Amino acid sequence: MAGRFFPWGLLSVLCLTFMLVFLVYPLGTVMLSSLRGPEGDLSLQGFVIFLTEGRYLEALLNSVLLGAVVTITATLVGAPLAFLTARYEIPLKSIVVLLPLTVLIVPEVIAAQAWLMVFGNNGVVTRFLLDLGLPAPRFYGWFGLILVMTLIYYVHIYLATLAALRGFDHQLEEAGQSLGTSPFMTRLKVLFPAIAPPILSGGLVVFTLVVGNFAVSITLGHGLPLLSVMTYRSFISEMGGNPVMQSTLATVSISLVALVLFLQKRVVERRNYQMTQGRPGNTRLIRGASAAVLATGVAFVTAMSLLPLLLVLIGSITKSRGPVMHWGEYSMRSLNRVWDFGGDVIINSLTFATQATFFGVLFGALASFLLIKKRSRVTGLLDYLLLLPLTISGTILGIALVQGFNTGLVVLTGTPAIMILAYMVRRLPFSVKNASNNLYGIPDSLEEASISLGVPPVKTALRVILPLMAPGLAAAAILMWVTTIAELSASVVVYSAGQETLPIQIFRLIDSDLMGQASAYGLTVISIILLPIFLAVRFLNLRLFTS
Amino acid sequence: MKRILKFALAGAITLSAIAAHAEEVTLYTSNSEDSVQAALDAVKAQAPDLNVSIVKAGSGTLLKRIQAESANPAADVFWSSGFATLASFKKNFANYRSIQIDAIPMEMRGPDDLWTGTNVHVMVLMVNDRQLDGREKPRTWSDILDDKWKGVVSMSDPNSSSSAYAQLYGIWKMFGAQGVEKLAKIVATQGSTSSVYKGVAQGEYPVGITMEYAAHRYVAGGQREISLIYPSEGTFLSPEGLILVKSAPHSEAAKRLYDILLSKAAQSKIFAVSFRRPSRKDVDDVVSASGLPPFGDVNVFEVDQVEASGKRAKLLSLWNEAKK
Repeated sequence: MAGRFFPWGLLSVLCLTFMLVFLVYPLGTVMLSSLRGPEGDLSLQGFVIFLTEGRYLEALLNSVLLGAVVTITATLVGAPLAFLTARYEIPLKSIVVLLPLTVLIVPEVIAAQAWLMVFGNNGVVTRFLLDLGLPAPRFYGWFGLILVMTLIYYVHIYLATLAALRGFDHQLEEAGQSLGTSPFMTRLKVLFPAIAPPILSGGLVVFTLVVGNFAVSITLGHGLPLLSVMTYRSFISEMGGNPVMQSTLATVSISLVALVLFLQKRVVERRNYQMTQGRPGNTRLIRGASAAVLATGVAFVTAMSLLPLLLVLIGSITKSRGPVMHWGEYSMRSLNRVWDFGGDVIINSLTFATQATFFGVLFGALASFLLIKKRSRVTGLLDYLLLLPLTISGTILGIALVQGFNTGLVVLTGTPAIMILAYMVRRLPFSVKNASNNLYGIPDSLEEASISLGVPPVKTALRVILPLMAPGLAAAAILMWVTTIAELSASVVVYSAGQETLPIQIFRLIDSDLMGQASAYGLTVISIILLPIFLAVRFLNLRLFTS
Repeated sequence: MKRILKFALAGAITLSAIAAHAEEVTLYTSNSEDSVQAALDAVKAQAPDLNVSIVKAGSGTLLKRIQAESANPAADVFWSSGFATLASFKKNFANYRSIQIDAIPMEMRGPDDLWTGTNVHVMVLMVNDRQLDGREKPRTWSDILDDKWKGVVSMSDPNSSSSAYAQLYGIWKMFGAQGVEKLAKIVATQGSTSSVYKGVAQGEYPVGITMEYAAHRYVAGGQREISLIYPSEGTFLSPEGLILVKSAPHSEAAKRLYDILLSKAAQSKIFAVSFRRPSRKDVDDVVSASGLPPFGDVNVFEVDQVEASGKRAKLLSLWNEAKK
């Protein structure tokens, strides 16, 4: 028994302890402090204020409504797009398959900012309409939020639908049709019930992401109370004081997401169909008017997805005087400003992201090995805890870490360690998932052979298994690095003076309405993100966006 | 793979080593990013070895934070907030007589050198002509205290913004408690000062109660539909000050930063990008060259900053009650 505990059992316990200390304990602290009164006594004061004062309740309702609407609109964009790309040969198909990539790498704060340059003050379209004497749409509030979030989150539905369609056995459809049902009815009665549950699961992911979204909400939500923004504002205004409202709001968000996940388990999982090995049908070539219509639709979605990248590029070289952009006139002033003054911010971003990635991938490699190859009760619990960071928003994770570690035994608030921890914990689920991609294919017999030849277990893992995991780990490292460079919602809560990162700088510049400079920093972020992706794809032949 | 990791780690270590070499000082500031940048430009020119870390948030938020951190201060210098708000937090400030003090007029100096005025805010109505929807452009404070402006006049929350408190206090002096209640009912309050002028510039609100400098940035930038109204009953002034935090962790560097922020070069530079009227006596020529009306032409309704400070709690509760 002792031999079996050491070393894998011990390492599993260590991984579990890490999750308990840096995730479960801080979250517990937040939930407990929502029940504390001003003197540390047990009190429901926070919830009383939530229900009766201010606009908290309105914020909750708005967030739920926004989540529901964006889930529907994202499904309406993502699912048909996936269906078209899976079943038909359409023009632009090679670009469409790249869409998830562009949307995943453009930081949300930049997407929001780019759209502001179209429809916001002095935006290209706004100015154009106003010059013609036409009313410009009011981009702040519902319109902007729904549009931008749909264009960011439809990718999740698109990927979920695509996976479901690939797994669907095409012969079922053929069977339906050979029994005399029309193609449309077959799709409705056979295909639809089979792919609906995964789409619904994708939808719930979108819902939780929208409710937790910080960057777009705070940039475009002017005057419209939203839960995530209110949580952040309470955190800022309660800094150093009694954290009642931030804890209450965080607890409300956590409960909301928990409720949604519970419903998912009850409703969606019951309806899952088991599919024997799917045989996807051949793609069909379409021509004529319907092809033109479909291609236009696809091209439209493609263009809308790529627009932020283009706009940030143009914005960064457009002349600006204070907050006013002069479209059509060019200047290198904003980029020069980044060059002269952005050094510290860029260094911060690179340093934090590199360290977080290093530890994150280390943890991911170990945890995925334990989860897949060394299953036990401990790893079962670990597996479960690794889902948690997916469901809580960055803002709440940040608040939890700050509250959990600002007094007591280990004080981390204000140190670089808390930034790195926030990034690391936030991305752990992805790191573990990407690291495990190669692991399923490695037969246990390989490890057993090495051990039976006298190589100790740990050495076997390092010398035999690790090299086989390497491509997966490299992909995990690059994905973790680029998403960490773009992270805003947790870091904007935990950072202290001198620890500003690129997204925080962009966020501040947008707040002061300095779009030209914000674009210049945006371009910097995008270049930093694109470079390693390009190198990895070009020279290491990594397939980064397969799953 | 190993080599990549080694390279990345080495890179990270070198990068952090470069960042560490300089004299550190932490500045808490509520000013807009371009003003802060202009200030940093001045620091770079006058003291290249000074490495300023910035924490940005609303002035009320930052002052509360300085108060909360008083046992173990993290901030060195705070820039800037209205005198009335500063007075309520003076326990947390150190006395410091800047080497620049002779250039600052008496009325811009804080008691016992607890703070020094950096600039004067002039409260204005910022109007977006395109969004008026047929309403007549307001000319006076009493114009906007009318039901037809309900929900379309934007103002920051006086609980967290010192400039909004200065506006609230001025309205109270001019129209009494009824004026405050009316104002609370009319205006749409924003979470931050910047939301007010951004909202007007972006056409979200036709009118905003804000500061001259913030509104003039858009006029100077070339946004034609934006105009500034100096209400004819007289506008309110809110001098803003700079403070040295008591027991600041880097007090020597903090004093250097403090002096630089008051210097003629810094004040002219900050004015040139942000149009904050400087507190120094010797920069009038810079102001008159900018297109802003000279101080002599602005009709001012005098308010007493000391009284404004004393009335803060009372007026805020009046406001919050009316807002409910």
